[in-house]
Amino acid sequence: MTNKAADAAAVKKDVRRTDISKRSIIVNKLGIYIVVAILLVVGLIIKQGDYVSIDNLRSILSAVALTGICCAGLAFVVYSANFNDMSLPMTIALSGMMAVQLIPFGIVVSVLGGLAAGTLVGVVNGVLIGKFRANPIIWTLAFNLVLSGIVRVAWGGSQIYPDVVAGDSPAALAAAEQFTSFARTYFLNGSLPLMVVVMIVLFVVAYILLTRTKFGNQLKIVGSNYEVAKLSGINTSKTIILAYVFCSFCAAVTGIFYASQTKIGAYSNGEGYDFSCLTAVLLGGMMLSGGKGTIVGVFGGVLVVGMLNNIMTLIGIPTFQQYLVTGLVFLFVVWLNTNSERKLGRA
Amino acid sequence: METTKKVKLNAGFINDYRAYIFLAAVLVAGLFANNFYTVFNFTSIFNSSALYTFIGIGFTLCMIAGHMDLSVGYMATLGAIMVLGMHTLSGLPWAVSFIIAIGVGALFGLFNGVLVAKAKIHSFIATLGTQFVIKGIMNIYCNGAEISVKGDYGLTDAMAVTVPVLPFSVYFLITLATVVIFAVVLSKTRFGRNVYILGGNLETAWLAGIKSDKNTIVIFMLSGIVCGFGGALYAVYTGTATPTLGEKGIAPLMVALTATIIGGTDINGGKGSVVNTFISILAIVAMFSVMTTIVGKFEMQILFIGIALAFCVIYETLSKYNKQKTIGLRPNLYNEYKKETGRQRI
Amino acid sequence: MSEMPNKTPAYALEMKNVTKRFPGTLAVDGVSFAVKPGEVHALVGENGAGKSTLMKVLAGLFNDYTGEILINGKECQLHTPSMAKDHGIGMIYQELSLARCISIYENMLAGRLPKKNALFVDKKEAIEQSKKLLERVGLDYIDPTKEISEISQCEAQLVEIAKVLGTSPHIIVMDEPTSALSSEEVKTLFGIIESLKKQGLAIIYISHHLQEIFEVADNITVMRDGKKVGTYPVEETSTDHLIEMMVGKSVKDFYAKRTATIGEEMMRVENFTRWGFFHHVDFEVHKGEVLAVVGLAGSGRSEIGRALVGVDPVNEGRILLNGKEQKFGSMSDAINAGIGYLTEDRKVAGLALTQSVTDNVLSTIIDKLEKGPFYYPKSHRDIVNQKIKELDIYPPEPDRIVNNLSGGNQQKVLMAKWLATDVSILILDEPTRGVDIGAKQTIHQAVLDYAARGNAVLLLSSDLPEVVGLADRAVILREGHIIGEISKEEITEHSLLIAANGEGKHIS
Repeated sequence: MTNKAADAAAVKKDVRRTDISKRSIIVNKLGIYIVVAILLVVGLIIKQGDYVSIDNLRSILSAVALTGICCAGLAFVVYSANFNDMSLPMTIALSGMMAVQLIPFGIVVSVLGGLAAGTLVGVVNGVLIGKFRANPIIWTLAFNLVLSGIVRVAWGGSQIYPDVVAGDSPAALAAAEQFTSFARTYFLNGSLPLMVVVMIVLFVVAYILLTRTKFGNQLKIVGSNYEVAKLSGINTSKTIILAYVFCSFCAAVTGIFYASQTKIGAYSNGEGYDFSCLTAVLLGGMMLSGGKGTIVGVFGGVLVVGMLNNIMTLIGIPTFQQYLVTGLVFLFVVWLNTNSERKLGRA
Repeated sequence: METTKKVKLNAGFINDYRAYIFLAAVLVAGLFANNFYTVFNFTSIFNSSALYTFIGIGFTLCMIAGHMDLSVGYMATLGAIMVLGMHTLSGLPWAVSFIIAIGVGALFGLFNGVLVAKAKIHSFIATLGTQFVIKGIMNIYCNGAEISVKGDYGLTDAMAVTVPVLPFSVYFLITLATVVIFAVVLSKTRFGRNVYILGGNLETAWLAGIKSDKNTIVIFMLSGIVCGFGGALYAVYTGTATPTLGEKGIAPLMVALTATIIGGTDINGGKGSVVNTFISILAIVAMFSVMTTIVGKFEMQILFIGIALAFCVIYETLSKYNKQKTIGLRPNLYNEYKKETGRQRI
Repeated sequence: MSEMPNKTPAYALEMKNVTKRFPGTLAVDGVSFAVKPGEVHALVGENGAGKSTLMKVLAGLFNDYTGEILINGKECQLHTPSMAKDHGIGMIYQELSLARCISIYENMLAGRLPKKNALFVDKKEAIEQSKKLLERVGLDYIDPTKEISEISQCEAQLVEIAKVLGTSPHIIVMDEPTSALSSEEVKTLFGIIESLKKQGLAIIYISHHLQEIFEVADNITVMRDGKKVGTYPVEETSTDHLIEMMVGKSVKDFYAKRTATIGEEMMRVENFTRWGFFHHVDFEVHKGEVLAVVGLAGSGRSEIGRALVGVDPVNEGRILLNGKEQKFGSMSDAINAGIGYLTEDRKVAGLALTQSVTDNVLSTIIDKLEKGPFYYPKSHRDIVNQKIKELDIYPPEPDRIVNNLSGGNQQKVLMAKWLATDVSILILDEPTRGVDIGAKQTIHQAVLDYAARGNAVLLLSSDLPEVVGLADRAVILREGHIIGEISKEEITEHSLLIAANGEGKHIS
């Protein structure tokens, strides 16, 4: 057939383009681990053998665990083409404070209460953004402010402490003890923190959700093009709601660990997470335009953020310079991200 | 048709003037608060609205053009640090210090503008990153410490001087003048009108030969300039500048965002006014004052403006969601519908 | 135009041997074309005949056309939109070039608002200027400080014309200006065109509505397959003649003749109404049948399609599937009941362009492939491979990103996506718009095979040869109403065009 020949000719021209996109996909998937390797080498040069010591690796992992847990969830929001969940900070704070407040009712109620409070945030976000198509940034910013108000009014603007909340009852005190021990539980002779295990479990769950479930595969279409997904018989509202719910659930887990680690429930617990988590997620190759990126990559992004902070601290870069570096790294990553999107034909 | 028009007009009226209605409601509530209607209280309301107003102008300007500048809070903080740093630490005269503070604001505005217009990064993502760059640079400069006016309180005192009878300080008058300048620029100059067209429909702008990249960069620079200036004024007025100004209590960014949205600026651009934003800021600050005497809790203030903002966002979202359903309606079929059913609304 | 040059050239616009090539196609092939001042010159042709491309050349959207363009006798280059504007060419775009939330006068004078002094815009002067322009299009009753969103679509269309008049053009191009207007509004528009004509402007008028053309035009140029067929003074031609010129003869053999076995009724639509979009629509489709819904732009075709599958709301009427009434709240309800809808614009609503062929083909059936929440796309390779083979998608790589396929193959993927659903009724909205002839053939064969397997097809198309080749029956849609029906034997491009224009014996 003549059109076959024409097609073949057209494709010949195309091949070059696919090669580039294939290569860029590989770079997107694995590139981040090349950065991990480079940072490892840099770390080794700076601290020699000490860098790969159990102690240092543990401290890197512990340091990234809180961000990492949150990123596993945020990845879904980015993947659904809703850019960022600006209500992460207050979701983290709310779930932490809720958990601390519920300690007198036992550790199970405390944890479940914290998770439920956080997850509820995701439901509200999901309905407004997924169903009614609210502007995701403006809405989550607004809701963050509402939550901030609720949390501050409910607790009178003060911090709460597990042992103080528990009061005199021995059962409650035991629960408070248990609560604060979450962040201090280690496996394998003290080398593997519970937080890291939870992070890895959540990443596995996220990986399965995104690649091996109907939800994940539908979210891919929803993220690429909402209208197409709607007209393909995909329940777009439900899919986006689920993405936000998972995101908030992960944030709630972060919130509980955060409160447990600091032994404080405070409205300022989650400050800065909206930004640092987005950095890690984008670094891991999630595309802001939606529907592109992998959980494996996001995990790499989390590692890089952790190692970068670790190395900066090891070299002795002061906090303020670290802000600057983080900001510049973020902008650079976003620029790369936007550029490769444009190469894929979508700006 | 008549009835629908009327209903629309009413809803539209409330919607268009919601900033003023909000202010009126707060003023009524003020009747029940102690010492609300005093010259002293009004002076303090006006003075504390100044910083928010500058940030609000920057934010509104960008939003009219269809962008979001999340770095306005830090931009103002940077202005504050720079002016006092230059004056107190480096011993430069006030005028030079102000020029440097404004210049640095303009520089970061340029940075934002280039990221958005040339690198094509979503504005809220780009400015989210710029925030941290500014935070880093600012803290490196001042070493994370507060900078104060040392000894030289002349200008600080001058700004606090109030005009006779009216509760206006010099500080507030400068703020007012800035609002007027920006209102005039936006409504009366070609540049200002182009900002609206850019935000309203890029296609229209393109066909009319309006250079969108250049204008976007200028818009972000203006936002940086006005925020830098506002921050600098605030620092001089209060006599100190801290690098955490943008984070303390209710973040100024959130007040600016809330005021912009309550003031009726369209989230997608093309519509809005700095005067409405200013009115909303006055209403918010007055509400804070009322609440301090009635409720006595600072926390309630956050909750209230949070709810006000969320309410407006939900309202806009739902009205857009409903409007979507009648896009493409054919007028002749609509007339037929009215004839056939006697009903007016679909 | 206020003043004419002393030596009036014979033509306001002359295009000589203009050619514009796209990769793979010759969109405009050596077209020569001339318009006198004070003349309304209509440009007609079927979809893809090259009219729009020719006008885009005139609008300065391409810098790689060949041939000569003379304006008022002077040769000029039109490589950018502003060059076109400077040479006095005014394009009337659809509403999209107006910003809805901005006042009328500012829309009209966007980018060139008059200034009072170095700084300020002279609002009074701007309003005066816009009022004068609005008067020229009969909108003297409208307050130019109103926003575009406050006026009707017809008025917005007229504002668009007034806006273009503001740039004092010699030549105005109107592309389908009436598609959103009612018949009374069309009359208003024609009155305005008449007065513009008297003011000495040259007007190029593009429309599918032939009646309108006979009402408004002085001369008519027919285009077909990128070439000019001929120019005829309006009094020397007729609808019949024009349609013959537009249709040509060559395509007749393109479609293999077939005899469809048409079975029992599968879907019946009764009194189907979405107020303001289409009213009281009735039709039925049978097993094995391809029913075409034919209508000109703006007749409500796609709206019916969207409402049938539950994406848009329905106010009245019902859908019966195999005799049972059905209600769909969403697209997935419709798919479950056995109706699929291939959307019109593959880039906007058809395909997830940044995803692979596999993801796109399976996107409609994710919920059905496996029980439970889990899903393994890799285990459904065979479905995808089979569809790739069936539709001859080239290159046959399931993992290829759709964006990296040619337009024709993208459209095949869209078709594959819906064939994969196994629905028994498929609504096809412009299934072959803008694809090459090879892909078109493949898709058409797939449609016929699909119908032959005992399914029903509802074809919403403005591509008349396609309708003639595929349809077993056609219903005619005009301004949201079904106005007639044509049987298989009588479907020709000719009869369809006449009926779609609201004339002829098929109109009931």
